Amino acid sequence: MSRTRLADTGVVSLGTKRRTDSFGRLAITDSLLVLGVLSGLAGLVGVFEDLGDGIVLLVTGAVAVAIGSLGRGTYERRHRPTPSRVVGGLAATWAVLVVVGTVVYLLSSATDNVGTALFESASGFSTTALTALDPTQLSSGMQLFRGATQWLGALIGLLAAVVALPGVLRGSVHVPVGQGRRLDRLSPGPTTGRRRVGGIYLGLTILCGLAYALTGMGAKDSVVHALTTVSTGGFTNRADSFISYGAATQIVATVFMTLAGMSYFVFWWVLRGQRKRFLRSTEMWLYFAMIASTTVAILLAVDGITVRHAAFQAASAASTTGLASADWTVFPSSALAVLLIAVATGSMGASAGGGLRIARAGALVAYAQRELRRQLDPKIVTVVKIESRVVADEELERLTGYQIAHLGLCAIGAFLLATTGIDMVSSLWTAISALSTAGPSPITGPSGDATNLSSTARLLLIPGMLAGRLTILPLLTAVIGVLQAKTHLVKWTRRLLRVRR
Amino acid sequence: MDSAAAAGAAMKILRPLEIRRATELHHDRGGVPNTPLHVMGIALAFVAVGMLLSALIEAGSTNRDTGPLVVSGFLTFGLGAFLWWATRPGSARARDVFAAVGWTWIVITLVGALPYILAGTFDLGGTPMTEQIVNSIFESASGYSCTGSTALVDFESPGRGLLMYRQATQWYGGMGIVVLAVAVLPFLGVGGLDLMTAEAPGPSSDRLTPRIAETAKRLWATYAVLTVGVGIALFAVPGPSLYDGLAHGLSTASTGGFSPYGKSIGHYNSVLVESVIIIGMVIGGMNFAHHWRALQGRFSGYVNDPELRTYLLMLAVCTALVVGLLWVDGGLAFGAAFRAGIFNVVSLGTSTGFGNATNQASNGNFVLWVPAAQMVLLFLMVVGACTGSTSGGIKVMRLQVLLGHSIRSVRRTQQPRAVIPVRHGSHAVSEDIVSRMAGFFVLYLLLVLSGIVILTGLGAGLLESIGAIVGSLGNMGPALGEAGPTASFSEAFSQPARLVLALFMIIGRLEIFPMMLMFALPARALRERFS
Repeated sequence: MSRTRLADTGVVSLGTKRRTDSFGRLAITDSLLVLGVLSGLAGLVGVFEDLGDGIVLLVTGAVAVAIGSLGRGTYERRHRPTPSRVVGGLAATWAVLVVVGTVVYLLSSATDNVGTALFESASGFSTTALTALDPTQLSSGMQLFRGATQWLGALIGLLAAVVALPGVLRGSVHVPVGQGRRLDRLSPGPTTGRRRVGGIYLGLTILCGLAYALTGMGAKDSVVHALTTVSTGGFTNRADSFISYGAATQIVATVFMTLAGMSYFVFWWVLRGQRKRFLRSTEMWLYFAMIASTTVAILLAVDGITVRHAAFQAASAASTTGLASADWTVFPSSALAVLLIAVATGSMGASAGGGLRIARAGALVAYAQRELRRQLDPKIVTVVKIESRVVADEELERLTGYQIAHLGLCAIGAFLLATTGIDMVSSLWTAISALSTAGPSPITGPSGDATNLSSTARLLLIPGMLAGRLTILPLLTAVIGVLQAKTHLVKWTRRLLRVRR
Repeated sequence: MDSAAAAGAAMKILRPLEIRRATELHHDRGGVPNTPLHVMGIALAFVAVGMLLSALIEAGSTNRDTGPLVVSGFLTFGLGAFLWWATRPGSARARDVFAAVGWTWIVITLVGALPYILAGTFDLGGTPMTEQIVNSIFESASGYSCTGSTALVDFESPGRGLLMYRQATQWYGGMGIVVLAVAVLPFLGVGGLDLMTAEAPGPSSDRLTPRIAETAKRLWATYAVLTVGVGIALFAVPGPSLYDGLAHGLSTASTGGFSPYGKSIGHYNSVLVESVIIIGMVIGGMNFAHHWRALQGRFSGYVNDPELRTYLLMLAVCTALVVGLLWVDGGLAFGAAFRAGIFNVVSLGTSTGFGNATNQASNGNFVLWVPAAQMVLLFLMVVGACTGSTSGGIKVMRLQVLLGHSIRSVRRTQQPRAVIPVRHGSHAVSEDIVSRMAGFFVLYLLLVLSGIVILTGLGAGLLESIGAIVGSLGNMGPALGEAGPTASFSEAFSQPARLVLALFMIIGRLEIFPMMLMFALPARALRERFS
């Protein structure tokens, strides 16, 4: 069989070894490889404290590394995949990771409830700060594994946003702003992009861990919290999140949460010494402005609150991390409204955070302004710019369509949560927060305690959390698929009836 | 100026398209060329007629507030006549039309508060004057915008004529908005008429006649027929008097929701009355162009309208959902759940805002319902009913087009080069209209978010703020939480919050663009001047 024919069938000949061209399978095996390494490391630490948990983690690590290595030898990405394959591949990766995580939780001493294990795993990989476990009751190994799930989840999200999706969804709203001239690109190719993003991510994690350690936090806690802060995950080893930590630790968390919500393009510009581009990043200044204005709003609304606590809650909400240094659920409604808006808007594009993203929100405001202008002068030609880049009309239309879909999912989620008996504000907040991968809401409290939610509510949140991490595309595609199936069914039934007549 | 001339002139407010023609006709009449003031004068004269007619009812019944109504009527008429006399239509540029519409509604709201202020309607014994004025403005805005939220606590002290004036404010508002929808908005380029044209069978558009003024008259006639029909139907069933029938006819046809009774429709505690009101509200939420054609014996408009089908389906599905939730989760008997569910779903789904709660603990008080049922109501508060109707909200047609637009966005991600039109029924919607509707929706969202931040900043609870802002922008009436169907807004919100809500009611009634531009234009003019 010739090389061309083999390529057509999806199998490429490389000398004596044949590797299948599959983006999805390669993504799964690569992710399993990293999970295996992280799990093994957690097992090595945890085996001395809890032998059972340690063995579970070590075995999981070994199996995952074995599968990952085998996969790397079997699959490769040679051809540019279609958008459906990339989105489907990423969704499948998350599904496999969530299943592996669930099995680990079930085999360990963490829980013997399948629903709880599934929720914890999904919450971890989606970097949502909702937990159905008491973190203080977990062994050190499991605490590390729990943190590692968030770290890996955010890394995959980042690689998807910066490397995978821009390659296939050109001009789409899913492509982050900042892909400038070819030479300046953070991700000129998949391999280089992965290396650069991974390097920055790892560097930030190490810096964050060291900073936590310098504030007097223990080694294990520093590692776990670095993993969950840089990933905007929000899992902690304490039942009260960051409330009982000291001022220095809270300040470090505020700084790194803010950094975690920033675009990796910004970091790249800083590393390359491109000061002008860095300073001209409108999205970054808007992000800072949102954190600052949220801080001021909290200071004005809450009597006696310090700047440190206000800034902490603001950074946590804007970066969608979900950590808390104070019980914000008892704040006055004006502070709550501002926090909710910050959670819904979320962080910068191409960051580890979630939410609608600042650039998209800014583009929507510009779009509304343009439509207002067009009411006065229908023939006027105006353009919307983000980061000095003119956004095409088609892209803006997609953005509005995407935003409507986002809102629709929030509304459906809120309604479904309300059917489980949760009050309206908490239903709305929990749905928005889950879709933004933030987590905590008034009903779960500042620490994101999901045991306050019924098991049905927790199951309902899982698709929302995963959709929030990956982009809502797979979930929407599934919904539209169901709608189209219904339409086809009606058509076929009509045809059948006509034939019988 | 005699009353016939005033009435004839008043009609001109409903015909912005004819302002240019009016300019030519009145060019030699003298006066300052100023379109906004001229339109305002005509509208004020129109409102004065309502005040004076209400004074007649007051004089013939309770005779408590006759004086304030007469004084308000003459003051308003005088002001209107002066403005009409001193000005003539100027330019008919888009910015002047926006200003004319926006400022007219603001001034009418302020002048419409006069009868309440002069009669001391909100004086509960030692109530500060500022509180009385704020409540009066709120009540006036709620009336003219057909919202139905009320600051009234004591429904016994106002006279029957004053309460009838309160009902009439909603009738004016409803009529204005029907005509605005088909006459003003297409001119402004919002796209409602273009879409209605696209869905209408044959070459004739929703302009029922080629002349927009003739169309306005026919819609007005349809509106009057519906009002009288609901009034007679209510009078025919046991319970309501002729006065009650007329009062509720005015606020049902306009999907306003005011009632002369504190318990609203719950005052009668009658299934028959509720049934008549439900039918009236459903009809009020439909496109009035279809009603006109039906009066001519042509019912095809109802059958071929995809918006109408979705509207009725939406009401049916939401009723089933709410009834099911109240029955299964809420612990109500099926009959009670059905009665409470269908009335409130239709009331909020048509943006009317009537309540059927007989007391605070009754089944009709939806703030006591299970959260999921309240969530369905919140959805209805956002959507509203059909275009070309008297209802508020973002409208079913916009929802359909926006959903189609959203689905297309996702499909385009899978097939980037595919040409996928957004369809409404069997017709493809032009990209320009999709874009305008998307712009409208984004503006709506921004307004909702801003409103929530402002209201919570003014001390309102989060749930109350969400309900009140969505309810005010959608011209619904009752909100959620402490501002439910049995509550008065004067107790649930602070003075500044009520003024903010009043502004949002007018913004919502004018479908956002005119008011937003009215505020934006001065800033733009300043910028242009300085640049």
